[in-house]
Amino acid sequence: MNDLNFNPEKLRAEAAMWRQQSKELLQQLGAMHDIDVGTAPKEAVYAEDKLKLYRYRSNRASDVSSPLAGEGLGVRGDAQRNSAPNTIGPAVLIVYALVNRPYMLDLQPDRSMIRGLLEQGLDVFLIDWGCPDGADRYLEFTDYVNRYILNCVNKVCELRNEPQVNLLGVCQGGTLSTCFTALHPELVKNLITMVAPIDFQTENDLLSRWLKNIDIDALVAASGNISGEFLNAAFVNMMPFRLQSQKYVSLLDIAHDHHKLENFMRMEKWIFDSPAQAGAMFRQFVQWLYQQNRLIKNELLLGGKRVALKNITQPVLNVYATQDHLVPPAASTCLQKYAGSKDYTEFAFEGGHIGIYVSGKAKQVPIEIAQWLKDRT
Amino acid sequence: MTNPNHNTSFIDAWLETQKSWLGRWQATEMEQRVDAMRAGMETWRQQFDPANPSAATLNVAHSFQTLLQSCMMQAGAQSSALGEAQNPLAELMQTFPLGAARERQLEWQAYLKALGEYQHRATQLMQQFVNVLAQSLQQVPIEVERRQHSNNPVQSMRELHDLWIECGEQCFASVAREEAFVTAQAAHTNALSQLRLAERALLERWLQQYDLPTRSELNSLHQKVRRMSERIAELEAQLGAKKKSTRNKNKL
Repeated sequence: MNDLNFNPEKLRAEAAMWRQQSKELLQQLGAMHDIDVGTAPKEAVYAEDKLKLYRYRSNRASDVSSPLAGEGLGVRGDAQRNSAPNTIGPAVLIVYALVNRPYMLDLQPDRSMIRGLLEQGLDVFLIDWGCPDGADRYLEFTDYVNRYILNCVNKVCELRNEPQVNLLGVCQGGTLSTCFTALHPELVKNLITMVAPIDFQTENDLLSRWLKNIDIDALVAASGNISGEFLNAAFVNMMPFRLQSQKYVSLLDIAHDHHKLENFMRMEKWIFDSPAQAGAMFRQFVQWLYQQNRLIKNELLLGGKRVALKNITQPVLNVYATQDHLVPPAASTCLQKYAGSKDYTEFAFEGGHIGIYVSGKAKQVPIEIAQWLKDRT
Repeated sequence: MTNPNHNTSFIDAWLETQKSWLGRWQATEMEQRVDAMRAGMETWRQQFDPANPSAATLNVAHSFQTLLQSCMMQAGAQSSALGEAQNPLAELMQTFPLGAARERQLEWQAYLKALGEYQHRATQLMQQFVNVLAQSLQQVPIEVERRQHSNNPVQSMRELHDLWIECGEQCFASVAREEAFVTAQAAHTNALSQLRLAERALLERWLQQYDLPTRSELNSLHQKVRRMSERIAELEAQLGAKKKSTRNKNKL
């Protein structure tokens, strides 16, 4: 029989340890200032309504043909005097999701997909949708695809003096990018989707199951825009025990480690720093995709035009996470079946929806993306 | 030999924490709950027998289960009572609307009906979560025993907590996909939407009485601005096309 070593003495020692760890944790958290996120140097090169299009700057001298100091709408982040966009390597325009803020892709210097892409010599652009307010409640699906993304693509083409862009759509941004590519194929050279839902009614899609009986018209009528808090509550409730209890109990384990606590707080900030969703867009996205699954049925119309996935004939790289609880792999991988592309590649990341950006293994993702792009440029 | 006083002081300290957490509850109910927890902890302490470690582990698991189940039963009883409570405004809700205040009365009746429906749906959803908690707690002693048989016994309260989390997630993953849960959750969200709409109707009535802007008026303006912006964009596009056509003609 194994010695259990679980007795009152052990219990008391454990309680004393918890007390000590809690004290240490509270001291550490109390002394912690707000943490930095999204620190890779960048400059805004285009703005429209709440949207900003950023171009990231590289420190790699070999990538830079001419510094663009003073150009654009202002430099942000830890910009260094000698940094400039990668004007030599291929450009990639990242379309992030409307849910959550895009600094997840540059959460901290050593966990940054954007820095990873820059290191691979890419010229990185990113659409930051900003935070919609009450005045944006009537923005529709077509506004995001046929106006905002289109204008950003045109701006990137203008800055790069190229007729097409490489699109990298992340999560919901992957769905938007897929729609854009289907509607404007002449403007997209390569399409990369990352944990992007295409089929919204796969068997393991819990979110889809939860949404099917929700009266979205009433929800939007009552709320206007859909608040970030509302969405966060839904996401946290998908794993309530882990995300509301264990996660915080586990903080005791890293109470002594300031660096790990900072990492935790960055993630915590990202999770709960969520923008509201423009009411009309939210209604259309949920009704048309989650409830009616129009995209794969070839029934989605945006701006009066059908979003036909078979129009996507350019090379496609589909990156998905094998343990994704928000976008099950089958929801993403079905793109191969519906897209018209003959050059279709999948990269299966061993991890979850968040780990694909910030886990130790995530460093491989920008390398795979850059290599795939360079092979097709 | 362990000094039982040490355990008592730990239990008291833990209970004090619980007591402060429960502070928002009514005093009498809080005392009853704290007493229930104290009794549960005391049982746990008494059942602790270091001479028989395997029994001790199972006893701890069972006590942990009993303690949380007692809390949950009270939570369930409370939510059930909430659903069955007599609505103090039932009379107003049933009065037929006549006379000068007829329209106001209808709005209030709609609001009270929405409130009652929301409370009912909230109770039903809470019951779903209580069921998940109950299932998870039934699973804990089974898992403790399984680990014991596989020579990987639970060695600490922290391990026990993590085991409970694991059981909870497994139960929730199953329940969350069931039609009953999906329906209860959707009904709760839909009832909340209707309640907010009814509340807003009342608020807007008050705002109108004081000549203050309402959300409906703002929405109307936003839609008007949007239509104007779209029209301007169309006209700009037409103008651009016309200029381009003129330039091309001039070139020829």
